[in-house]
Amino acid sequence: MGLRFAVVCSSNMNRSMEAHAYLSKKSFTVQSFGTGDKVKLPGSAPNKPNVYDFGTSYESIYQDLQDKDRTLYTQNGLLHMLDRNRRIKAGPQRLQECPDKFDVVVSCEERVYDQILEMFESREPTENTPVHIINIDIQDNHEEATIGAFLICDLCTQLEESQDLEDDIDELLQEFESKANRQILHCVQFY
Amino acid sequence: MASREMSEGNDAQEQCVELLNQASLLQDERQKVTNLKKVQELIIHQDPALLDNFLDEVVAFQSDPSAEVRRTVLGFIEEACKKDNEMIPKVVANLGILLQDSFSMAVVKRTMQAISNIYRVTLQWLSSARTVTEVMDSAWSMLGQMKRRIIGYVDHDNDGVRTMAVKFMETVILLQTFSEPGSLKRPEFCLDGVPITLKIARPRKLEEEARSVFAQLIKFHGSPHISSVNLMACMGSLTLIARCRPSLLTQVISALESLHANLPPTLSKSQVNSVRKHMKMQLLNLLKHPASYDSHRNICTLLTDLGASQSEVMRAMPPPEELRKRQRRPEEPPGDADDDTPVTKRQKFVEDDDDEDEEEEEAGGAPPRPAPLDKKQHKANAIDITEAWAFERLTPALAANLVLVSMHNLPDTPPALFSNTFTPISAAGTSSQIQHVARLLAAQLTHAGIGPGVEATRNQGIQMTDHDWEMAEEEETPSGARQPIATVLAGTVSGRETKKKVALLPSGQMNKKHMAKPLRLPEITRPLPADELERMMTAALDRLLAAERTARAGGLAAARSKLLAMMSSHFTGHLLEKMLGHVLEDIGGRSDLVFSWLYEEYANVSGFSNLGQVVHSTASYEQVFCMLISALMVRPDFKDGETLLTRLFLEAPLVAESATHRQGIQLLSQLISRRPSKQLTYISALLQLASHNASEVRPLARARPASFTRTWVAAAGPVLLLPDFSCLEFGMRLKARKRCGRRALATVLELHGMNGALAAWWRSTQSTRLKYLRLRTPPALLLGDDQSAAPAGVTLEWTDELAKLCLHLYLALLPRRESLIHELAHVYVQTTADVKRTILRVLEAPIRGMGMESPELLTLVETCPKGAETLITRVIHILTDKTPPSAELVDRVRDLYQKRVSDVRFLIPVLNGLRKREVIAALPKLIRLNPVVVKEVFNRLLGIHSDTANFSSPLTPVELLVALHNIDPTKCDMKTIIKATSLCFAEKQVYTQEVLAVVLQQLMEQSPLPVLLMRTVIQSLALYNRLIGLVMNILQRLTSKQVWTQKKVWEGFIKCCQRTKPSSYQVLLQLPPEPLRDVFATAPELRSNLLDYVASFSEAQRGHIPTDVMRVLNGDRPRELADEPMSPPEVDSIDPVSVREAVPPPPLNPPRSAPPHPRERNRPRSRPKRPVPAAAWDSQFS
Repeated sequence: MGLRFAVVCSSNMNRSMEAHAYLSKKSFTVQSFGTGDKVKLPGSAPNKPNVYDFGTSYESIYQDLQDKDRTLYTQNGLLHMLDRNRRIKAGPQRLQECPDKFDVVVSCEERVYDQILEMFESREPTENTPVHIINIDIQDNHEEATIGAFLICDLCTQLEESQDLEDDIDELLQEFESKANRQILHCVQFY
Repeated sequence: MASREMSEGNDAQEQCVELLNQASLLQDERQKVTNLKKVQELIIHQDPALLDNFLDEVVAFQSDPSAEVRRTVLGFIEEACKKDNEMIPKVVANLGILLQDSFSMAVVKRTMQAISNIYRVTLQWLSSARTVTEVMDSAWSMLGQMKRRIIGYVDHDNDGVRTMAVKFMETVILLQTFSEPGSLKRPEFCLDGVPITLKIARPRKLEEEARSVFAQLIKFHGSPHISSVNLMACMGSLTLIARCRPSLLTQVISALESLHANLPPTLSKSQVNSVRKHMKMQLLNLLKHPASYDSHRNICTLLTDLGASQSEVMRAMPPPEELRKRQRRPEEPPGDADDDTPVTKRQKFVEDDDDEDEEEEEAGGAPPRPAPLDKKQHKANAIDITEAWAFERLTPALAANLVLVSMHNLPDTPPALFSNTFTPISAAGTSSQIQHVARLLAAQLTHAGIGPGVEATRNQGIQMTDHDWEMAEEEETPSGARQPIATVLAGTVSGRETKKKVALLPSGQMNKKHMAKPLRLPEITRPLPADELERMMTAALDRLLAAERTARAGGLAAARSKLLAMMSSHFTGHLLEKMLGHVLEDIGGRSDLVFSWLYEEYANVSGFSNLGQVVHSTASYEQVFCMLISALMVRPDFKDGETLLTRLFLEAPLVAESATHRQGIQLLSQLISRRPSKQLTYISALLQLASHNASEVRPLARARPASFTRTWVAAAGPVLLLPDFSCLEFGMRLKARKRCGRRALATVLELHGMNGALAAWWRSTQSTRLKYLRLRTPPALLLGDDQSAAPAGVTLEWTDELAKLCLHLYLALLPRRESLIHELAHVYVQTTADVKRTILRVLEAPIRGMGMESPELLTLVETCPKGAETLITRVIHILTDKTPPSAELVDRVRDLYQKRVSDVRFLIPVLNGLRKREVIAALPKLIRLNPVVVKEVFNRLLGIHSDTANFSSPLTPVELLVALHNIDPTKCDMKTIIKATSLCFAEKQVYTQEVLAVVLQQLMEQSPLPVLLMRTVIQSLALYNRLIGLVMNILQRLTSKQVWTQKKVWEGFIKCCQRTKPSSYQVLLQLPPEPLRDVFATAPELRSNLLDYVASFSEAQRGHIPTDVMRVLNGDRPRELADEPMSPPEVDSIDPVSVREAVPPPPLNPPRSAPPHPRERNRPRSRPKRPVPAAAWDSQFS
């Protein structure tokens, strides 16, 4: 039985979707989420982002952006990204609204990690099944997202291979940290 | 309708049967799981009536090999129990089995998870049941057992299991406590619902238990080597508990504070970050909770330390109106279910907090509070008391002093943990900050078990809470608390200026009403005073020792022995001696006691002891062991003890290393074969003894007689078996030592032959020892008693003895393991001259032992390392000293000589094995060597000093001397050859008259004549006068060989004639005139002699003398020759033989030569004097 992974970023657009795509290609059991209040995408100017509600489908966002400024959004890669996303799943999902349970949740940013912890703290654990929250900081751009996806895949492979995740995770993470030369955060929460 | 339900039910049943049958046949675990999940769905959610029917079938899958399937079964059991409580008793036993699943930790964790739910459900079920049946009772007690087991798992090896244990403890605590007002509203069942009448689960007992579990959790939380996952799980659990049970909030906060001050040192940097973040999250969560109002100050300080911004803190604060509501609440009557504790606690705070507002943390301007401490001190916990105490004293001056004092203890670089967690102090100098520092100090002090708080709490004795007991207990083991204090101080104290009096935040738990506690022995007993303790122990021991006979009569001997053993293992000092004395009184009868004693000690060392204390050092075991051994050794009735001694070594669980020094050699050899695991130790001891054979001459060992001799006496003891043990005192030690060393050596050699593996090991040891020789100075190891170092300031030199020490055993092994010789050769090359000399000296016996046929020796000769030539020469010398060299050896040496080292010295030992040609070829080089060596060479060649029986030389003495004469003068200067020949002449037994005659004959035959011929002739003549006839013969023949053509020989000829006169006159007369003239020129006196001689001739005889010769005799110049009328024409045709016959044999003592002829006397005077060219000749002959 494989582990159930979740990759989480703020808007469930770039980083989490990149990792989602890569992990499912490697046939992991994976889902992706955002933790923000809204789905935010860069707009024509820094102070004019495109904001959508969670629940809007990638398809409709794609259409919307195409209508607004096709060349701009082709140039900055948003349309391409959305095109990839709509092939993977229908639309951005919010972790807080998801009833599914996971074994490992990987977040892409410390703020997201905090939000995840906050979410778990606000819940009352009922069955006490542990879930590991791991944060790897990834900058929100295409290149970093790709690198981040590789890193996450590396980590997930190691976790998946472990015979006893709970017992090994400390060591695996330390090893991963020194190998990837990145600071990671980790804690355990319960469903 | 009814029938459809029936059919549905049947359907479900059939489906279940189908699915289960499939599942039992399926191999794939995924499909099995799917099937079981379907069955679960069917049974539990669609048709619970089937539960009873299929429970057993599903649960049967718990023995499935797949862990995943077993986990699914657990899920089923959990659901089933929730659905139908009646199922609980049926599955409890299964849970017990699954909990001990040894194959999969995942299953164990899942079981723990299931049990925590089932445990809660069961309590609920018990509470709601009208009557408690026996089945329920036993199910509950089984669950209780499992609960205790799971709680014990908090120390499990597996991280995940520990995490689950923490969660389980959390469940137990929440379940077994009463809910409180202001706590988080949870739908979960808790103690509130348990009727007070429930006999098997008394609420009071349950709550009691919950508190002790809580204390355990707090302790686990504070354990220094907790893993980060466990720590975070634990923090989460504690926070949840605090939020649900506000009465425990203060304890949780102080636990978090203490954690913050002492983060586990094992955490990595990022783990520290995660933990701090998690803690921050937990604290913010606590802050949100209205019940935390009393602790806001602590929480906020902690949060600031953790790097939370002010806005974050403010956001997490409950809205002000709620706070106000909370402040008012105390006036309202407390709720029914509530005990009165929170009330008192809150009341206290109302008084204190009246003049405070929530701004105080940031403003730091809390007004001083009028000493609330005295009033409530008895209720405050230790930290609070100490905090107040510290706070009062924290003046800037003291702070500065503390910093200065602790400066010494600061590490040079800040530890990673510190630099990681340090945040600049934002509110330095404010009273809140001082308060915080005081609290940090208090936490550390209390942790270390000092300070007024601890004392105060200790005085409260039995009233202390569990938590505080944990702290008080830790006081026994102060765990390096000072260092953290210093660090914290240095980091936090820096900018504090003002001192303010702020009231303590009291803890809530003291207000709890204390119910009956379980008996805890350490709580109600006090340690006895030391002297009383000792007195009682002695008395007890005395009684036990005295009771030997009684115990045996009563059949309690075994119990007594066990008791004694147990006690002895905790004895010290004179008690130990008493015990020992008792044992030694009757060694035979009490050996059982000895062994149970030893085993008890061993059990202590290994942690098998059931007394709970594990002594990890073998020191005490060794002490007892050695005490027994030495006691046995010095006993006069040693023979009795010897069997026990042997048994001790062979049967004791562990042979102490220090005891190996005391062992006898017999024992050692037995031990080596019977206790393979410690073999090496014994062997070292044995080898040590064996190497000491040479050490009776060791000066340094003499300097340390005490320790040295002790070892020796001890070692020799069992071997010599001493009827004369007393003789083996210091006076006799030399002899004993020698004997012992010999014995040891013999044993080593014997064992060496028996055991191949050992032999290899020994060889390596000895090689190492041998390699010491390469060092400039002898290693300290060799000196003194092996282990003791050399006296300081004394530089050591290799002495004969030290070198021998290294070589002794090695050489002894050599004849048995000949291949070792190569090592020696390599070492030899690198040693100093002194050591080389020693090696050469001691080599004789072993090499002789190896013999000439040893293939290893031959190989050594063949592969002689550079620099070891002297060694090889020595080896060959030793080999050929008494016996002629074997053909192989000769071959090897010849080979070596020809191909690699052209040092002729190699050849000397094997000279007799070489061929004649080779010897002759080597001769020029040989005779050039040092005279002593040349002498040796000749001795060998001539067979002097050797066994005449089997002596054979490639050269006969004649050949040798002839060969010497024939040496090419370009290869070797004349002087050397002359010396060599004189050596030959010195050997009168060999070079007899006859031999020399043969030599002279042979030399004479040669052409050209050897340069030294005449010298040899003269020498021979000097030795043997009787050779004169031969010499004359030679001289005559030389004349016929025209000897005057060879200058050197001619000079010799003249000299010889001088020496042999008057016999030589005859010869001289036969010389042609020219050479004769030359003779006279060289030796003028000969002329007159010869003239006289001729004058004595008869006329007829005189007629035979040619006229020109006569003319020369008469001293005529060559130009006058023509005028000479008497010149006979037939001079050249004179037959020498006929002349010889005509001449009468020369007399031995020629009296006629004495009176010189008057004519002759005048003649030379008239002749002009010519210089005598004898200088060159003389120089050659001198």
